[in-house]
Amino acid sequence: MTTFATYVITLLCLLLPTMGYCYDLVSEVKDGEGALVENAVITATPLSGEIKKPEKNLTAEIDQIDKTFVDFVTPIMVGTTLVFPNSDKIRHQVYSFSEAKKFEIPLYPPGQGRATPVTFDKPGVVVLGCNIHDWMKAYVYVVETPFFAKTGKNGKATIKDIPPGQYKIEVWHPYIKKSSATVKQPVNIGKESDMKVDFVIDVKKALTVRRAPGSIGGGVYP
Amino acid sequence: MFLFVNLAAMANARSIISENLIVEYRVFNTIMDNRMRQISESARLLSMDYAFKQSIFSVDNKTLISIIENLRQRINADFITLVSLEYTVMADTIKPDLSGKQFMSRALIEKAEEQGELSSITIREGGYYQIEIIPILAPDPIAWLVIGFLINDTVLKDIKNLILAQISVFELDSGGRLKIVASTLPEGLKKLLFGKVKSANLSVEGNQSIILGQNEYISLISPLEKKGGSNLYVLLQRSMDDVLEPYYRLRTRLAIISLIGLLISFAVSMRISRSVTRPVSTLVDGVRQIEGGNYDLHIGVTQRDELGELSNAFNNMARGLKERDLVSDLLGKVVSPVIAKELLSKKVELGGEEKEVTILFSDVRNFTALSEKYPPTIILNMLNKYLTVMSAIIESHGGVIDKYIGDAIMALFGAPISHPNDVDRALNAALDMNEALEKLNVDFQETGIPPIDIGIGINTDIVVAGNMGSAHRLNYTVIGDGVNLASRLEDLTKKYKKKIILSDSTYKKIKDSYKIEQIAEEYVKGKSKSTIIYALIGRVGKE
Ligand SMILES: [Cu+2]
Repeated sequence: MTTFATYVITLLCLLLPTMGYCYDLVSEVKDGEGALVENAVITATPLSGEIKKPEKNLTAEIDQIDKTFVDFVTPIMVGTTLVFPNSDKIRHQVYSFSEAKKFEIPLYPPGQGRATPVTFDKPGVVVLGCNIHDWMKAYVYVVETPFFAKTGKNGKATIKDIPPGQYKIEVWHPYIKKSSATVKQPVNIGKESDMKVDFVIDVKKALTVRRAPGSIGGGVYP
Repeated sequence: MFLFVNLAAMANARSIISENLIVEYRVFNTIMDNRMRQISESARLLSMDYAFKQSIFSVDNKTLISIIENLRQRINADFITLVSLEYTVMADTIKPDLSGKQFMSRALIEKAEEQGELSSITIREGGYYQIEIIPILAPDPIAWLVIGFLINDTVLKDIKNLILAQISVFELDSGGRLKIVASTLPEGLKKLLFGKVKSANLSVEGNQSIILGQNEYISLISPLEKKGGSNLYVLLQRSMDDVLEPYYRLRTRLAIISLIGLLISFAVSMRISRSVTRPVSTLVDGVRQIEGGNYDLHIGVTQRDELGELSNAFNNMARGLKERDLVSDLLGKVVSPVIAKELLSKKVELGGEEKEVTILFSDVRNFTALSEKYPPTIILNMLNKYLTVMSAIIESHGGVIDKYIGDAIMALFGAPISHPNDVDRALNAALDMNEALEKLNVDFQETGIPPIDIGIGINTDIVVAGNMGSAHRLNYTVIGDGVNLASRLEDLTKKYKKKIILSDSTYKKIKDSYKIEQIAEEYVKGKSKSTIIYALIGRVGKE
């Protein structure tokens, strides 16, 4: 019954976006010094615990461009299958030692679909590395809710089409310090005053292998 | 002068040491840092190894420890601990049973998490270690490697080889108690640091002077860690003596040179005393000995100066005296000591003078037949007795034995010393010889020796008399026809069966009265004229 209701609401949200039946949550993330924080992931989890299973297989991709993972942070819902296209002219070898998903894709050539896709079936943080390029690093943030968004350069993220209700809003960042306040609840989606949830988090310096100077392109993240 | 140089050298040394110590402290830090950096750099490289990262999560604990141990050996660290993100020990190369236990210092790892990595100093099992904490990135940290390097004497000694200063690392606890972690100082000096290094020393800016034993050490104390995580300090010291060593060497050299100078002047004065004083005293001693009648000495002064010449002269003199003594002794054996003395009183020279000399020749008749009949010892014994007696008689009359020719005696009267009655002396000697022979024959008969008979020839003539031969071997003798005639006359005694035969020239010079018979007028060999010969029978009034 409840599953059906959620389904209906979602359907309504899809059909009637302008009708105001579903809501967009906007978050802005800053650090302690007031600087806008990019690559923070905002999640909204219904306090009811009722989460709709996706009707089809979710997929996402992390490309490799100029020996850099793109994107640096990829939030996905549990069960999502990640593909790893290779836009470089050289091979890469992607691995993870993270508890949430340990895997290794042996050196694979440039192109689409040359690497075996990986399905992430446990929530958590998965750090991706490349065996042959020490500085290459990416984070896959596996969440249990379908409602999530990632902040851009402006430090803002918008979670679209959240059905009204009581939610727990959380923030996560690869370099977030434990001291940060990361949870806000309850947030009443649908209530005008609750539709903007901002976070101030402490971000530590990244322990990252520096890409050798002179290399073209990025790869060095905050 | 020495004092002045000394003070200047000391002041100079102090400023040199001060400058050096500051540089050396920098070098020390650089070496310590580099040591850490180089080793942890290799550790970092190894930690990036994919297989290594993989193994951290996939092997059993024993294997993991051996992997870490292998890593430790590769980079030559003293220990490595692998620490999890939850601050528990995953593997330790010193104590395998630490696995699963809390790491000794969570704070250190937390600090490393904050900074990405960490250099520090820590104590474990009583040892002081420089440690480096580096993450194992995959690509975020999945664990921490704690790499330790023991701070011990050997490490400091290695550094000392580069910076020359003595290095000590010490800890000063809150109670001001000193603990020496490691030092390059010899054991004896190390002990002396206690009581010399106190909290007050830490606040001294720049150099300070610490006296250890006899030596002054210019010292510099600085924290071992620039960030000051521990209360370990490094003490750099240079002994004044080390720096002053070249100066001391110079001073020693000066002292040696002065000493050599002293020795040389001493040697010179010794030489002078040896070449003047000693020869003089030797000469004085020699003179005293000669005074005492000891001519048998030789002064060993060989130098080539006036003293050397004097010594030579002295030696010659001593030799001359000795020779004279010897000659007089020898002369005494063959001539009467009176004559020997008279001979010696004159200058002995080669060559001779013409002199009228009466020559007496005596011979044992048929001596050859006798010597064939009797053994040589008896003959020799007889001859010695005979010659001794006859020589004594000749000498008693002032004659000189010129030579013995076997059993024959040649004697001179009038040479080398003339007497107015040389002829009479000769005649009396001849008569006495005959008388003595009679007594000798009685003795001979008693000892089984056959009686002998002698003949005597006497001739007076002018001959050349003198020392003949070489300078070393002189022989006083006479040369001339007169000698041959005397020998001839002696020969004639057999023919005329007379005991004593005189020549005419002898006969004419007789002053006393004798019983004499004219025998004949003889032609003597080598003589153109004949000469009248006489036989001497005896003295007048004695028959
Ligand atoms: Cu790569």
